[in-house]
Parts: sequence; C-alpha cells; structure tokens
Amino acid sequence: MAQLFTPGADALYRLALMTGVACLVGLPVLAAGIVRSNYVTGVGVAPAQPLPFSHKHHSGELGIDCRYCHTTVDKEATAGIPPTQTCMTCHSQIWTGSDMLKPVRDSYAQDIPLEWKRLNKLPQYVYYNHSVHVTKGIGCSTCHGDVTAMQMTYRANAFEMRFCLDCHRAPEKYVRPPDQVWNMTWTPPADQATLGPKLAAEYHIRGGARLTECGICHR
Amino acid sequence: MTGPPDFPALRAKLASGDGPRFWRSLDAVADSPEFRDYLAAEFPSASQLAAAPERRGFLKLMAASFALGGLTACGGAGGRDHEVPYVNQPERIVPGTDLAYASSALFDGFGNGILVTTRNGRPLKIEGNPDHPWSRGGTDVLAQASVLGLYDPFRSQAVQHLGRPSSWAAFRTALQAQMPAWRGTGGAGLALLTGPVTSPTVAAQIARLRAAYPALRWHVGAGAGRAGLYEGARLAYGRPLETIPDFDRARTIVALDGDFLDLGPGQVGLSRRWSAARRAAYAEGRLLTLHAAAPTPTLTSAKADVSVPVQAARLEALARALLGLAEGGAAPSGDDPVARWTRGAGKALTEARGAGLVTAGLTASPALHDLVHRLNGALGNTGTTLRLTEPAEAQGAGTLADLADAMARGTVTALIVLGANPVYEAPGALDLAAGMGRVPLKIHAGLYADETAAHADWHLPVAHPLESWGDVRSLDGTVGLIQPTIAPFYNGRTLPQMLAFLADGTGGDGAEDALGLLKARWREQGTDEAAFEAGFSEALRQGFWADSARPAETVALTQVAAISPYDVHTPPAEATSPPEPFDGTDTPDLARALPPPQRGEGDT
Repeated sequence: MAQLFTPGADALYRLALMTGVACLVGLPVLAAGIVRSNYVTGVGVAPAQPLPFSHKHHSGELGIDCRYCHTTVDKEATAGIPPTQTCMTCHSQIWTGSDMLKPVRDSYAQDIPLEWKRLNKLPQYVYYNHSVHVTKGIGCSTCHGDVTAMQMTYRANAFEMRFCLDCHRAPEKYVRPPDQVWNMTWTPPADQATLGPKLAAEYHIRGGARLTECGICHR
Repeated sequence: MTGPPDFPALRAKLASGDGPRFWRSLDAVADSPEFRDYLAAEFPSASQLAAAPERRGFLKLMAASFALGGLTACGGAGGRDHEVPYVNQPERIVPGTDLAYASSALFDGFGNGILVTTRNGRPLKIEGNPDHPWSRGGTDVLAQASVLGLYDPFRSQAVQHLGRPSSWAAFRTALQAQMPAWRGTGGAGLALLTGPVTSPTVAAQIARLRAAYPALRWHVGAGAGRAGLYEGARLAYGRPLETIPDFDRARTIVALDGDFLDLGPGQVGLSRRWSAARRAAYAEGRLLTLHAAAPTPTLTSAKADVSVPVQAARLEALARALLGLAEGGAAPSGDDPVARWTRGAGKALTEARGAGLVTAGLTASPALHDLVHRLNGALGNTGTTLRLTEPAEAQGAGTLADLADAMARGTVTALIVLGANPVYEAPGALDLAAGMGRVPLKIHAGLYADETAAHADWHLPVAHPLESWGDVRSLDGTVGLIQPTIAPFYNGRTLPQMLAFLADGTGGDGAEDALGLLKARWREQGTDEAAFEAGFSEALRQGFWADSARPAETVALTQVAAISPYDVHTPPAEATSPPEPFDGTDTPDLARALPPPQRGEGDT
C-alpha cells in the first residue's frame, strides 16, 4: 500500500496550524482596529451637507459666538440646531443672490426644513446634558475639537466611553475659567495643576467617585 | 362548575404522583372533560397551557425569546442620522425640553383643571392645575390615565358606514340628503342622546340644534347620573340645584351614604377641601368629625371617625330620625350600632347648629336628598356650610328610559348618539340594542367603535380631549378650557363641530373650526375684539375663565307636604327600633343586603 501522505504534507500541516494560530490572534486585532478606525467612527470625515456651511468662516473668521446659533447650549440638554430663520437674519441682507445659499432661501420660502447630517451621536442609553458641562468650565473644543478651524465640519472625537471617563475621573485636568469655555484654541496652561483643583472647587464639581457612578450617564 | 366536587377522588389525585402539585381550583385538580370544555370555551389561548406543560416547547419559546431580546442591540440609529431644525422656531418650544399647557380633564362630563406636560410636541404626563379654583391641583386616576387613551391604537380611526370604512364627505352627503325632510317636520322623530353636558359651548350648540329642529328630543344617558340629586333638590326647593359643601366652615359632617371622597365628578375638589378643612381644624386643636352611614364600605365611610353600615332602604328613616332630633324630638333609644350612631351624629349636629353639614351621595334616592336638604335647613346649615347653586350640568334633557320607550313605540326615525355608549352602559331592561333595531337611521360618534357603534349605521370618530378645543364646567360651575396639545391623530371631530354641522348642514364636512366655535360661544359676552382676544389668551394660559363659578342661590324650602307620602310608609320611629335586634357586629346590614344564595326564604 502506497504512503497516504507525501513528504510535503508535514510542511502543509505546519503551515495550516500556524495560519490558524495567526488568525486566532490577528482577526480580533483586525476587527478591533476596524471598529476604532475613522471609517467606522466618522472622526475627521466631513459628510456632504445640504449646503457647505463653514464653521471656520462664520465662527473663526467672522467671530460669531457659538451661542448665536446654538442658543440652548448653556441652558438645556441639547445645544440646539439653528432654524433657517437664524441663517436668514444675515443672509436676507448679504449674499442674497449666492448660489451656495439657495437651499437656505428655498427652505425659508417653502417652509421646508434643512436636513443636516448628524455628526455627533451618543448611544441612546447615554444621558448627556450640554448646559451642565458648559456652565461648569468644560469648553466646546474639549469634545468638538477646534470647530473654528473646520472648513467643513467633522466629528473630532469618537466619544467612546473611555473618552468621557478620562475627564470624569480627573475633571481638574480639563476645567477652564468661565471666559475660556468658548475659546476653541484653549490648551491647559502651565499652572493647570494648581488652577484646575481650584476651579473644580469653585464649580462645585465633585470628581472621582461621584462622577464615575454608572447612573451619572446611564440613567 | 356544577355539582359538589368528588372529594375522595380529589384527595386520591393529590396524594398520588411524586412531589407536590400546584393547583388553583378544585376543578383544575379534577381535570374533568367538562372543565376542559369550559376552559377551551372561556379562555381558548389558556387551554393549551393547561394541558401537560411541554418541556421542549417551553425551552424552545424561552430560547427564541432570549435570542429575539438580543435583536434590540442591532437597531440602527433610529432616525437619528439627521438633524432637522425648524424653519421658524416657535417661541418657547425647545426640542427636548418640557412645556406644560393648562387644560381640563373630563369625568362624566364634569371638568377638573389639569396641566399637560408635553415634550417635542407630544403630551406625556398629566398633573393637576394648582391654580384651578375647583380642583386646586388635584387629579384623579382617570385624568392621569387619559394620556394613555390618546395613544391608544384601538381608538376609532375612521368614519364607518355599516361597519365599512367611509369618509366625512360621504357622511356629510348622506346627512344633507336627510336634512330637508327634518326641516320640513321640525325634526319630528329625531332623537339626540349625549352624556352629561356641562360644556357651555356644547349646551349652546344643542340649544341651536333644538331651535333648528323644534320637535327634536334630547336625552342624556348613562354614567352615575345626577338626576336623583337634582330631583331631590326639586322636591325640597322646587328647582334642580347643585349642593356645594364648604367644609372649612363646618364643625361636624354627617354623610348619609355620602360619597364626597369617592370617585366621581366631585372627588378631586371635594376631597381637597375636606382634607384642608380637617387640617385647619386640627391646627385649631379640634377635630372636624365625620359621621358616616353607608350600605357599602366607601372611601368616605372608611375615612369617617364614626361609621356604621346601614341598609340603603333604611337611610331615609335614618335621615328622618335625625330631622326629628334637629326639630327637638327625643333621641332614639336602643343599643344597636345604628341607634348609637344616630344618637352620636344627632348630638354633634344639634350642638353645631349652623356649622354642621349633612351630605348624601350620587346613588341616594331623590327622597333622601330631599330629607337631607330639609335637615340642613332645620339645622341652619343651608347657606353657611353649604351653598346651593345652579347645576353645572345643562338641564332640559329626557332620560334614557324615555328614549328606550320612544324607540320601542317606533316614534324615533333618526337617533344621533354623541359621545355615549348606551348599548353597553344602559340597564339591560331597557334593551337599547333591540330598540335601535327599530330606528331607520342611527348615527354614533365616540372615541371607540364600541357596542353602540356596532348597532349604528354611521360611526364617527371623536377627537380625544388632548387634541380638541372645548370647554367644560366643574361641579361648582367654574368653566375650564380644553386646548389641544397635539394635532389630531385620526381625523376625529369634537362634539361642537358635529353639532354645528347637524344644526346648519352647511360648512365643511364637519370640519368647522373648533377654536372658532369655542370663541364664538364666549365672544357674545364681550364686545371689543382686542379685549376679548386678550382675555381669552389669559383664560387659555390659566386653563379656566376666572370667577366663573356659579354664585350661591337664595332658596326657600317647599312645604313638607310634598314629601308626606314617604312619612306614611315609614314612620320615623322605625329607624331606631328595627324589627330584629342586631347581634352587635358591625356588618349586620351588609349581611342582610346580600344574603347568600343558599339561605332559605324564611331567613330574610
């Protein structure tokens, strides 16, 4: 009876074994990488919007305050997306014939709302309140990045749980003086180590155990 | 099930087998073929479960449930992929935040002030309106639950003609074909049936309808009904009147089957007033005593300081005994609980002349109400601890029995039922379903396609109060406004809209402007348009027309001769010397009122 396996079968067998082991390790690593990639999280990706609104132009160059449009950011849970009427406060006077602004004029004339692609989404099991963060010294740019530098707006952070917890565990590293909350280019000053705890106390932020309770966000 | 159970067989069954057996009834243990048939007929879906439980089937179902439960994790963004802002942001409406509107909740046609909390344009929660002069921030279970009724998928969603979906336009065309004939005869043979009407707008619309069709008969049916209460006031004062107690002026309260703390149109307002008066009395260091005599345990009798069970039939005799005491008669003798209670209540009332309060409930007979009015009059309580006012409910309607009679005689050619379900609610003896069969044209409007709709030719969906404009009176006459907190879901119409169409036959297909009808009712009272609009806006904001409660009427008791027939049948002495002595327990009357079926005839 002839040999069932050729001499090369051993090599093939070893190759198959090693591939299996490599897959066992490699596939989860690959999957984890894909899930965290900007392709999935949308970080840094500016989707097509009904019109190419530029935060860089309006907020950065013209210096319009965040709260001119996002009116409820310091009062309510949601920051608020401006109604078409807010755009028309200026654009009924300037750039009235611009092709780029036609969707805004059409929306206003026909009473059909603009549909913006949503960038920042939290899971539905997460409670988030803008006003409590903004009024307690957490600046816009901490989460949303330097919006004033974005020609087309994109998502700056993936908002994984770790992102929230980093700050909730050590809020003193991130709190700013009230006048710096709207500063999009803020970086922690040299004396943040002494300033931070002082500010946290002024804002009555109870860090550590209290802010990391599950029910703070998952209510 | 029938017949006495076979106990030895049952014992044998329970003793056999391994381990304990669980059962809910002896029939279930016996597991006879008759029981299986009964179960299959009564609870078709449960009959399978009652069969030997299948372990495999159970595990299959649980595994499937577990797997399906995991599917929720796979949901998409749920419509959160886009941000859709307003074009013109309405004032005060901020997405994601609460906004409350003042409105009114209905109970048997009577109103209580409520605040409806909405979020993103959807009403979510109902609480009492603390500014409302009648309900003072209270609500009852029905008001709290009414927000669920709004979202009820079983609400009637479309016009139906002979059980098939139709449209308002088709209904309008069909009715307009009938109307010339109605006008020709002045509406002879036309019958309108509604629930209790307190809404000034609906009352005005009904008056218009009756003006358009003078021969139309209007009936009010169903519900606990205040007819007995008004009839009692008519016996005592010659006209129907509502009694509003002022507990804060009282030093003692006697309830003869009184139900002011029990579920009903007055519960919210009256229980608030009672508890406030009770607390105020406590602060002054005295007790606002409540003596209650009732045939069944109620919240009122449960809260009473001195309570006694009394047969409903003997309440009148009890009232007459108290009346005798008030007029200086002798206290009843005897040592049974009722006599003791009567002595105590009579003493409290005579010691607090002008500051006592006797009440009777909705289910009490007109004669008892009459006696209670006379008792309050004799004690000097009328006008001090209780106000008599014009009834909040619109008067002048016939009863359900009149309607059943007319239908049985075949004199009704068209029946319009608005917001009532008489086939279900009316006493079975009236047999309204059979009566409706003799009526050529039957129109039913209601929140649900209910039993009456099943017997009607046309069924029209009514708008839910949370999506309607309207008004309603509270028990004391305060006019509460009803405003919509959401656009109508199902193309339902309000009663004023339907009545306006029935009266005119013109306008749209019943889609008359409900807000316009409401304003038209109230504009008559004002002259200047701008002032009216300002006043109306303020009333809407508050939820009621300020100071619209009915004023107290000055009344005079009619001659006692009006009630003499009752005296003949039941002399006052009977109340305190019952034919059989009580055995000392607290529930002798209950036992007599509801004799167990197996007791012999001689027992009663």
